Amino acid sequence: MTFNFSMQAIDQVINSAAKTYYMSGGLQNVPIVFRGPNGASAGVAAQHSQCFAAWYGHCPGLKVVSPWNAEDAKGLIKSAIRDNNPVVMLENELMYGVAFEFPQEAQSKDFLIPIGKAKIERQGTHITVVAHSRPVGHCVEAAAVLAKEGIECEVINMRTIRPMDIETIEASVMKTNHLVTVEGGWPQFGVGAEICARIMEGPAFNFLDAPAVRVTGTDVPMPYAKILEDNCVPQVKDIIFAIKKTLNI
Amino acid sequence: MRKMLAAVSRVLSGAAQKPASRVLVGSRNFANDATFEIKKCDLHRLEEGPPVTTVLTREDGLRYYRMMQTVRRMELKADQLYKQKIIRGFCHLCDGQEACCVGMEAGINPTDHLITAYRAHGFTFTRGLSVREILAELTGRRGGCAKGKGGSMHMYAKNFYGGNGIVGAQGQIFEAYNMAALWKLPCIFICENNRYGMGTSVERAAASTDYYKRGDFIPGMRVDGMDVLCVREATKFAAAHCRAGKGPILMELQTYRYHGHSMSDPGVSYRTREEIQEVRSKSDPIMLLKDRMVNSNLASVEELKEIDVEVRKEIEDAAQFATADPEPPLEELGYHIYSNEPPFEVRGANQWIKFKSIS
Repeated sequence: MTFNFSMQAIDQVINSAAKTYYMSGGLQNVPIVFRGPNGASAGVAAQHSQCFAAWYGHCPGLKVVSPWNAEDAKGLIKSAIRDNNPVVMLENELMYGVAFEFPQEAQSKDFLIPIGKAKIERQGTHITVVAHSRPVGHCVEAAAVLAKEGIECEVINMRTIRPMDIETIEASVMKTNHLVTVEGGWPQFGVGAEICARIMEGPAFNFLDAPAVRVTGTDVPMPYAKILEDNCVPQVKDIIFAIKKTLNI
Repeated sequence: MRKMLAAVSRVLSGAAQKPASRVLVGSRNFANDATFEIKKCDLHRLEEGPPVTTVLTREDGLRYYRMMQTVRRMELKADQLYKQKIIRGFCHLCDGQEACCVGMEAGINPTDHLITAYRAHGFTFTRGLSVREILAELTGRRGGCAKGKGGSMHMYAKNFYGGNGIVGAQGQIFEAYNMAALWKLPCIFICENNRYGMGTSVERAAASTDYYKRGDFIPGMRVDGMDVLCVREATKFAAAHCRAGKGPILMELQTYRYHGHSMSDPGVSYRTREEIQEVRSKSDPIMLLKDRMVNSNLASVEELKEIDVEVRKEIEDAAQFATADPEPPLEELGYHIYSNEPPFEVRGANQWIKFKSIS
């Protein structure tokens, strides 16, 4: 079922899977993959819409991946299965039905996407926009809209939440001098918050021309009514707004 | 409107009180009550069980009939609205299981507390909410019982705690059995055994399908969940057990759902249409009550048909309301995060979007 149900067994994921190799002093590894839909769907209300990226990303011993498109899904699940460590794969129900161009090399049965490496989906010069899962698509859309206004966004698809590929993000920020993070989960202690903290700790901080901005889910349990739900999930317009604010446009 | 208020007040007056003759009898003379035989319950760790005969008064019979018919028609209307995409997300219907919620309510008091899982619309009604409020919650409007914020699985009322979506942890129920038994809690654990857990039959899912025995040290009964009178008597018996300080008790209601697990499940890939049809024709709870009442002169076919007509109208009106009522206002998106707190600000999609949160 969805990761919302994983809370019934989260002790096993964290205490039995994530920590065992460490607790055993390297004796017992746990080569397991937990996969399923994560985050908001459509109209499934509070108990079925939570994003667990920050929850699982918090834990040492776990690897956490979050595919966006079809090749992400294939490459990451294969890498997850072949990995000797516990991997949580956070898929997205609304992406299951979306079709993507599937490049030739992705069709090979040994096509792997390395865990811990982000991908630059779109090159840009003015601002770095980082996201994972479904919001990557929203960022690509926002970038297309802004390109017409002469704003070129560099869109980074994180692909992995933990271990986070901060180097790719740093290199990009050092080029563009601006950063917006986008995620579906709640703002407090979220993926964007971690990215911002790490940027401050590294070389990219001195290249920022403006504070980094986070676009997130609204800080409430997911409401059912459509008008409310639409305002609880980051939309393309929210991303565009945040980008323009950061660029002071 | 008056008829609806009368119906609602009959429902809310509860089964525990002595019936008063408020019903206007037509020119025909009906019997005031009749005695029926009900199926003996299988017992676990119980010397005796609920009685095998029960008296049904005309007034109670009409009330149960109306309530079950209302739940039935309400669920069918929800099916229709879902297919029209006016209801979204999850929708788990309980048509076929009406005897469970109506029979249970007849066996307890409105001051008792009830909690259930996602198949909750019937219970929401029997616990006292109107069809209007329920349908408007399903359509996500401000007139819904949770102001449109909860949806199908998150409906609450006085002494009714939902409506819960995350289920399936076998371990939790055994923990609860243990504590309830240790502390002798006055708690009735109920399993509505409709033969399937989503698409998995009980034979494939459970090492033991004698759910009424699985409380182990907790006494249990297996009850005919298609017979509203059997459910009522079993519930009364179970409630008396708890109220006498004897601790928890378990009730397994053998019932059946006509729809699939939810509206996303056609319900025929793991069971046959013949099976569904057989239950409908032999064990439908509304039909069983109707036959009993008509055959013992507790009511006439015409009278019951009139109730059908009234119920249909009530559901239509409620559906109209549920479709026309506006969605909740955006300003209230942040309300009701905490109870009893001074107002604070809730962050939206970015740091410049703020919602007010009021308790």
